[in-house]
This record gives sequence, structure tokens and C-alpha cells, in this order.
Amino acid sequence: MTVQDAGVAVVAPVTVPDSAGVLRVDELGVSRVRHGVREPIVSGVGFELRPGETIGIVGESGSGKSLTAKSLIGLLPSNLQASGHVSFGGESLLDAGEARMRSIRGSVVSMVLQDPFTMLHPLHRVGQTIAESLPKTVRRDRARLRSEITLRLAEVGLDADVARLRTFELSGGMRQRVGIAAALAKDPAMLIADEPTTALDASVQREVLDLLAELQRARGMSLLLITHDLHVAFGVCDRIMVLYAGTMMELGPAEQLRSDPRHPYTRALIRATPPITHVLERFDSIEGQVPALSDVAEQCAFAARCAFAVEACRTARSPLVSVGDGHSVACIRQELVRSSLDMAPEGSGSFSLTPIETGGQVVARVAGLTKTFRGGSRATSARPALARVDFVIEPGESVGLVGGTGSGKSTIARCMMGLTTPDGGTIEIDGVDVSDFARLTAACRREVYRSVQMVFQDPYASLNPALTIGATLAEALGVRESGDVDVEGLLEQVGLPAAYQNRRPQALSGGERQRVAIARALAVKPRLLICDEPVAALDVSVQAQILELLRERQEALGMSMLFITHDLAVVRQMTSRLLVCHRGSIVESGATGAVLDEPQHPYTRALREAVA
Amino acid sequence: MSIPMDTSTAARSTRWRRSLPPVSVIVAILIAAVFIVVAFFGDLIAPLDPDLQNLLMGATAPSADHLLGTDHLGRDVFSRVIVATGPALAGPFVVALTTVVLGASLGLIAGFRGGRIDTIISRAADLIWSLPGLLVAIVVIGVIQGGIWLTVVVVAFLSIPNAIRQTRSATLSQAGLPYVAAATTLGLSNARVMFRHVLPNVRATVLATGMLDFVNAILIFAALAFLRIGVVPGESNWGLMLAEGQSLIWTNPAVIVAPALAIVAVAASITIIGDWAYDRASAEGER
Repeated sequence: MTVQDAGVAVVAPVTVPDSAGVLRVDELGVSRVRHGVREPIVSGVGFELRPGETIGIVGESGSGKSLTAKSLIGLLPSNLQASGHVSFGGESLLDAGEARMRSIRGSVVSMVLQDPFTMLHPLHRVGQTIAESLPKTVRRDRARLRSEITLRLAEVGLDADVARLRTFELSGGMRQRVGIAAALAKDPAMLIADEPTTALDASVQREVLDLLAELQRARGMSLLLITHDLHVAFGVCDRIMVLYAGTMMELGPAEQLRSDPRHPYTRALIRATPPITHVLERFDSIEGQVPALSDVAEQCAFAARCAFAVEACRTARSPLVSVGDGHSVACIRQELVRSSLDMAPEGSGSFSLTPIETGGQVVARVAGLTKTFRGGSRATSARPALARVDFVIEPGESVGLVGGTGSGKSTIARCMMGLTTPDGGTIEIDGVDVSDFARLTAACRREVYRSVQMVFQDPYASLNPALTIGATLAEALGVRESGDVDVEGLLEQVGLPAAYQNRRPQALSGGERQRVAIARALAVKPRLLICDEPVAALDVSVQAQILELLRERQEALGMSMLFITHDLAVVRQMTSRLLVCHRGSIVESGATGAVLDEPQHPYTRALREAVA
Repeated sequence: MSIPMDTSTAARSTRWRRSLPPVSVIVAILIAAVFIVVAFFGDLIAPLDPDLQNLLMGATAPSADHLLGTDHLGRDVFSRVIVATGPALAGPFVVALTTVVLGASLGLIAGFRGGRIDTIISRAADLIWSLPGLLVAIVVIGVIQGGIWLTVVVVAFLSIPNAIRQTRSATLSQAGLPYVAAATTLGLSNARVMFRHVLPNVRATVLATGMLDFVNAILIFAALAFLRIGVVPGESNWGLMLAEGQSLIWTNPAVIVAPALAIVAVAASITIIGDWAYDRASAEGER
């Protein structure tokens, strides 16, 4: 898309009566009322969405982006309250009664939800799901109903046969398409899409986004896209609003935000996403974490993490001021920020990761690994999860393992950790044959677990909620029995204050929990650290901190790393050698840079193209 | 705006209020506390000798001398209810303790280990579960003619399957979480992973099961005593008092109302406390 003048008349492609089809949001606030105390979560959000326009609301978790969207169509949880003004086509939505809202939802404003795996009725067939959302007149006429369903499925790129299938027979991407078809069944004037692609594989993500953009264009519908990923928003949206701790940081045309972001937070967000084309020497992470709005009500919400903050930022809220072309920003220092921050990518390709020379025997050798999961439905048991996987990890080497959902990459890790027993093949860790952990003696198993450790994906479930951080780490240290580092030393290694040892996991943020999980794994000084999607559950700004930490620790300790991820940009930053896993086999391997720049296998090429 | 915007005093007062349990639970705790004190010091509290008979007086209505009147043998009902509290709670308490320790351990092992061990434990639990509990208790205790400790053993045996099932299903929901995998891959022993990592996270279930077993046992003990099974004729016992006092319902209703109320009050208050404790313990486990 070209940079366009974002003046009122230009963005609205058709001349329409003053307010027809226009969503106006003014001074929108959401607050939680608990025991008579009102605690603000979102405040001062205002924008206008015209017919045929796409606005992206971008923010990290806790920024209030989902609540903002839900408040527009009266779907807030009962303990939350919306305030301010929201109108669609001149009709106020916040004051509308529940009966009126019910008729507005679906037919005027519709919504697509994040998780395609839980949003469809598990017992209904696809046809039923769509029929349920169609207008009554169509539903009563059987012949018309069938042709209408076929039409609706075709619109989202699905065959007519799909109507007979049940939810569990569909892939994630197909489910999301069905969800979109159902949301559009009453031909709404506006669609709200809440993280529609977050739960999907990278290659499918692109398709669903393209589909949304195409439908929006064809129907002249307005689209409100909520996402945590600025780059997704850049690809689809006309205008983008950046939310942080429930307040608007910046609002402007997508192209301008990409080329000339004015708010330090927007800049930091753009730079926090690692590039796929080259390796960064240092990550631009944003230190700290998102505050609660109630703690920053009288100041700039970003001040605590901002390098440009001055006293004035901490004593008063920065007003949203226009910087021209429909671009406005809430930063009193924006002139200075603009002149002093260079947005050009740095050091393109000069830096590269090389294995650390430590010598010694091979850390891990996997040969002919096979695994088929029995039970479950016939469809899944037909295909083996792993079909002859071979690879070797040298000392000090960082190896990446990429692949989509169901490619078997996590199964490989679980087999290496003895959490799943493979059907065939051998796994050797540090010279010990661990193909079947059940056959090892207890002492031998303990010995193996001093050589290999794992960092799990979900930091919210990988720490025992009943134990303090100190107890968790002390237990791990007890396994090693070396005594040269204590709990405080471990916490320091992962950048956490010593006082954290008395806390329990629920008092920590996701990034902090992942730091603790890494500390636990490092406590035994493993020769090999397996990281299974260690940053997939984290916000962009925190992601970079964890990646930086892992890279720094790997170098300092000279250990090998097996880094499992679906994210090609991340794997470029973290590894020197890359294995591409598809349908249970390694389809391509080689130096990370070479594989990503010149993919040979069709699957790798498809993966690579989905990102570019 | 009528609602204050987070003034510090309001916040403090709500925090204070939140740390207190709801009124119903406070009342339940007070009632339970009274019963526990009475259970321990019943002999000292009772105003009269519960076994002192006065056959000439017979059953009388409540009076200044006898707060709840007398029964058909002229014994003081108030003293008898008080003295009966200890035995009425001691047996069920031992039952609850046994089921929690044995049932929770077996359930934990079954849920965590899975496979053949799970099958053996679970099927055994199903087998006991399928027995008609009260009937088995009546037959066994009636035939063997044992006292309170035989009743404890039989009731505990019959209550264990519930504890096993509850703990097993709570364990299953935890066993798949990564923190358990992380503990396992540190090379810790199964026993350590089970008792140090999983048990604290299923404690809400274990606690609630124990409380409910306690209440259940109180009712079974009373029911058996009412049928004069496992009790010595003439002893102070709520269930037995109910049975013996039936004919006096018009002369002195307190003879049956007082022990009945005692049973209901204990059972209800412990159920309410158990409910609240479960909610609190499981809320703590969440984020």
C-alpha cells in the first residue's frame, strides 16, 4: 500500500452521510469496580473508524486492547464498566439496552475470536455453525439455506463438502475460516478481529490475514484488528493505534508509523522484533514491564521504561497531540526522540554466531528416531509423529529446530528428556544411551539429567505454584551438589534481584518466571540446554530480554543448545545450525543463515515466504 | 462520580474485609470451636453426673435444676449431651485422618504412576465403593460385636475409595503440567516429585475430602448408635439418646431435640468450614 494522505475525506473511499457506518469512540474508559473502589484499566481511548477502513489496535498483554474491543459491543465481564462515548452510525452503543445490543451484534458489528480450537461448538457440523448465524428468512428456506452455506464457505476459501464435517475434523486454519464465515453470515458493517491468527502456524497466519483483508475490501466493511504484533498490523491496516497500559501512545497511518514512529514505545516495539535477514549483535529489549494503569494514572505510562523521560513525564499525563496527516502522538519529548533515534536497521549481516570451541565428545546423537502415538482418532494414528530423525549436537554448538504445529519438534525434545519413550532408534546424551529411560538405573538417570536440561514453553505452568522461587532453585542446586553458586548467585545470573527468592511464582510476570525456569535449568550446569519455544508465550518486549539472556548464558557457560521454535526470525538470532522438521522428519539442515537465505526444500521455502 | 477513585483508606478497609471469612463461616467456626472445647473438657463442664439415675423422678420437662430436663431414668439430659460430644467426634476424627493419609497417598500414587499400579488401586477402590456401606457396617459390627474402634476401622475402610478417587483425579490434572516434568527431569525420585511437588497443589482437594469424610463419619456413627450397634446400653451417646428418647417426645422433647441439634450443628458447621477452606486453598494455587 502506498502512503496516503490520511485526511478525513481521503481515507473514506465513498462519500457517505455524516455518520452512516462510522464508529466513533470518544474518551472511552474501562474500569474494574471492586469493593466500591474503581480501578481504571483503559482510559481516554478515542478514534474514528470509517466504512471500508482497517484500524489495528496494537499492544502487549495487559495493554487493554481486548477489553477496548469488547466494550464496544457490550461484552465486558460483569465486574468491569465502560465509560465515555461510543456510537455506530450515530447510535450510541454504551447506552443501548441488552436486547438492542443483541440485535446489533452479528448483524451490524461482528467479532472473530482468537482461539479457533475452542470457539466452535464441538458437536455441530460446519454447516450448522454457519446456518445458526444466517438471517431467519434464509434459515427457513431449505434449498436457499444449502446454497447460501456453500456460498459462504466459498467466500472464505472452503469447499462445499466442508459443511458436513465436525469441528475436530478441521485444522486450525480451517476452523478460523469457519469462524470468519459465521461472523460474516449476517453481513455486518464492521468486523472486530481479536488476535485472529495468534494461535495459528506462521504459514497459515499469512493466509488468514490475506483472507480478512480481501473480504474487508470486497465487502467495503470496516475492520478493527487487534494484535500484539506490529508487523501483522503493518501488513493489513490503514491506520494503527498503539496502546500501552490502557492509554493511547500513538495513532496514525500504518506507513507513517512504520517509517516515522514518534513515540519511544512504538519505536521500541518495532525494534524489539528480531529481523529474519541478519543476526543482531545486541537485542534492543525494553527493560522492565508493563505497569498497571492505576499506578501511572497521573503520568506518562511509559515514563518508567523510557530513556527520554524527564521530570515533566512523571508528573503529568502527556496529551495526545497531532503531528499532522492524521498522525497523533502522546509524547511531550517527541521532537527530540525523532531527531535522536535512527530507525535504520543496524549492522546488516556483519555479525554472526559461531560455535564455541570447547572440545570433548559429542553432546547428543540422535539416530533413526521413530515414534507413533497410538490411540486417539484414526486420523492422527495413521501418521507417525517421528519418522527416522537423525542429528548430532556438537559441544558448544547452538542448533535450531523449526517446524509447524504437529511437525514432531516437541516430541524430539520430550524423547531426549525421557518424558516420552521412542518406538525405535537411539538417543545418546553425553555418551550414555538413553533411548529408553525406563531401563536406566536411578543413579544413571540422575547422571543424565546433569548433562541435559530443558526450558519449557509455558512459564505460567512450568514453576510449581506451591514452592517459593528460592525453594525451587535450591532443589535444583541440590542435584548438582557442587556448592560454587547459591540461590542468590543463580538469580543474579538471570538478572533477578535476590529478594525474589522469597516470592512465589504467582507474584512474578511471565518474563520473570521464564528467567527463573532458565535459572533452574542452569543450576545443574548442563552440557546441553533444550529450549522448547521459550519465548512463544511472552510479549515482544520481554522476548528480546529472554533471548539476550539465553545467548549470553550459553556463551558464558560454553554449553550446547537445542533451540526449538516456530519463529524463523528468532532462530536466526539464536543458532548457528538449523534443522527443519516437517511431518516427523528432518527435511533440511545446514548453517542457519544459509538455510534461511536460500531454502532448498519446498516446505522450508513455504515457511520462509510466509514471513517475508 | 460517587465512587471514590482508590483512596488509600478505602483500599485498606477492603483489604481488611477481604482477609476475613464471610459471616456464615465465622459463625460455623465459632460453633465448631465450642464443640471442640466441649469434646475435650466435657466431664468438667457437665453440671451433673450424666449417669446419676433418679428412677422416682423419671422424665421431667426442663427446669432450673435440669436445664434440658431428664430422661426416663431421671438422668440429666444437658450433662449427657455434653459428655457424649467427645466420643461422638473422636471416632469420626480418626476415620477422617485415616482416609486422608491412606486415601490421599494411594490416590496420589495411582494418578502419578498410572499404568498397572493405577489399575490395581482404582479397581480396588471401585470394589469397596460398590459395597452398600451402612449395610456392611451393620452386619460386620453387629456380628463381631466390637466397640467403637471396630466401628472406626469399618467406616474408615468404607470411606477410603472416595479419598482415592478425588485425589487421583486432582493428581491427573497436575501430572501433565510442565512443572512436574521439570521436577522429573531434575532427576528427583518419584516419591519426592509426588509428595513435594504434586501434593501441595492438590491439598485443597485432600483437605475438602477429609472434612467431608469427617462429617460423613459423624452421621454414620450416629446412625449406627441409633440402631444400637457398636454401643454399650446406657452410655452417653447422641444416636443412642435419640433411640431411647423416642417414647418421651411428649413428656420431654429435649431428650431427642438436643442430641439431634448437636449432630446437625456439628455436621453443618464443619461442612461450611470445609467448603470455605477448599475455595481458599484452591484460589491460592491459582495465579
